[in-house]
Amino acid sequence: METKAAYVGMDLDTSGGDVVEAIIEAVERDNEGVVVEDFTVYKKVKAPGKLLVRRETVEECLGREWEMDSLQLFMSSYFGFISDWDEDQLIIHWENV
Amino acid sequence: MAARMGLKQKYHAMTRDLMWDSQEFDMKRVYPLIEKEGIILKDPSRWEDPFRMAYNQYVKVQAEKDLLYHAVRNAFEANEGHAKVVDARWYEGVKAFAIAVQPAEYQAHRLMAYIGRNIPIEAIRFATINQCLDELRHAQIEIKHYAHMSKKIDGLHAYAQTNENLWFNTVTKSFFEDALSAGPFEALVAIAFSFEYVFTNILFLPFATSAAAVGDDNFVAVGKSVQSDESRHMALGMSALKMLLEEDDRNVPIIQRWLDKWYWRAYRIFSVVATLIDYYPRIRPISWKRAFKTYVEDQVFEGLFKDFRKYGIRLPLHAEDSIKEKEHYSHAVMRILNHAKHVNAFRGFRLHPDDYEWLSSEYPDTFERYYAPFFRRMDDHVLAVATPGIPAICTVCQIPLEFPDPDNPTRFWTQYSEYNNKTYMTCSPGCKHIFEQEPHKYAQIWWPAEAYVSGEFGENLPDDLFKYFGFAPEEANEYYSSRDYERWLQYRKQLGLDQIFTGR
Repeated sequence: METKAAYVGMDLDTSGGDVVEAIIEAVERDNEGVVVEDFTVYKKVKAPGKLLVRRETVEECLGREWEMDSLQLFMSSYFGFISDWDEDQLIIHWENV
Repeated sequence: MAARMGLKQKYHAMTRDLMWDSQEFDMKRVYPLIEKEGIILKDPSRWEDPFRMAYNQYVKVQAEKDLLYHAVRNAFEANEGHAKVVDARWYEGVKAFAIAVQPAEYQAHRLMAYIGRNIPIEAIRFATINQCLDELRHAQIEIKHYAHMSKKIDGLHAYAQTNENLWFNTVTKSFFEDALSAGPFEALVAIAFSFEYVFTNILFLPFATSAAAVGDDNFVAVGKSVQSDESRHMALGMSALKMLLEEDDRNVPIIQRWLDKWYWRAYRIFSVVATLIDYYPRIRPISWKRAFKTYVEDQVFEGLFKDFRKYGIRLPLHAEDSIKEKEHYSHAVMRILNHAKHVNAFRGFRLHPDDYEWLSSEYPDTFERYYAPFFRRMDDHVLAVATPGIPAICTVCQIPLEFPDPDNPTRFWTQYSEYNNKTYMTCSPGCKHIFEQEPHKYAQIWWPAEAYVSGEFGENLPDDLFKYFGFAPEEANEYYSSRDYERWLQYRKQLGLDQIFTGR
């Protein structure tokens, strides 16, 4: 594995409460090398090169149904290209990795 | 009956095939600007907005955001929120924001309408319509609160007039007028990419964190509500840029030229934000230097621009200068604001011991050596550092010409160019480069100092000047010696809040 792939990630609004906590937990489960930084009003969650958010994992962490669509209520910012965003998952990545 | 549509199909059904080619008119006359910039498009219909936002969904989501924001604002206003912040000098920063950012939001809505009108690509049109309405929403939620603020705080009571006439506001105006008078693709790269993708993060994320640290819950809510639209705006900027680069190789040098120009243009307009992060909040959760490193160097230069190398795109021409300047930026701009604080609607201020301590530890190589002596001169006399009159400004960014050369910080970075037998001054090599690409455009600058001397502000100076700006001389100057500070202390006393923050 390449040691220094540039990070991709999202800034999540912490007023999303348990939903945002569940998204972060799901990202940690589904990706390697995840880093979470706390800026009180938002949290930055990032991973080297590629980041996957899966609806099923978020629902498991949250303990109830959840729609991928509603991610945009809390995704204040992101970095990387959004290559896929449908009912089941979101992928943010850089193409050079 | 067809099966239930998925997200992708639903978005397509609601946003595509809504345009038609006119049989009666020449399409080149319907879209007169589409070929003017040299951009070549082959099959832009394959282009996608990753947010797939249709109008019905857009309206629903935005209404929720507005309700949420106004609930917080109402509670803040009803609970005397202004009295309860850590230190009300913060509101001088909020006023700087009111004068620089709110008109920018309004102008951005005009710009998005212009882009959508002139680029006949459905996905871009949908994204620009949404963004156009977003920008208007931002302008409105911000201004709603300033109406309340003006009951307690100086400087905003003739807000529309101040926004229109204040010399300092030409910084924002010239930026957007530059973009509005460019072609639609250049405008798209200017705003959707350079402004939105590269810099708005720093504005709304660290600034909202600062607002939370000083206890301004209203501003936290403004920041979050506005920023919640920004991901969509960033997606537009990123995807549009990628599309233009992939449609034809001949687009690449054009895009590079726009990135060189608009990176520096956006970077300069955000200079005031550096002071909003490092100076106006008495408690700072993050510095400009660290915010710049995270949001620009790591996320944009190390991330995005590495991906763009395959198209032959390099870093913006003056990227390195902005990296060097991060050790100086907020200090140099706060110095400018203090130089001109007697003619601005937002005040400068004396630093406290805890301010000196934080700035020295966060900027160990520059603050104490180059800037602290300047601020200490205000300890004895608050107007010791004011420059008489109206300062000379940069022909491009229109900020006073007082940026130090980061390689030689005791010297100014001011540059000179000759055009039509006249000398034009710019603040930096970045702005000089922009001037020299289109001197005929920037030579039309409205120069506030020239207007002052020519009598444009009135005959009875300086009184007429303040009438023109829409505020009184007592609303300017230094914060801790102002009537606003006295009022704020009284206001707190009435509420039984007699402790004040001392930094310990």
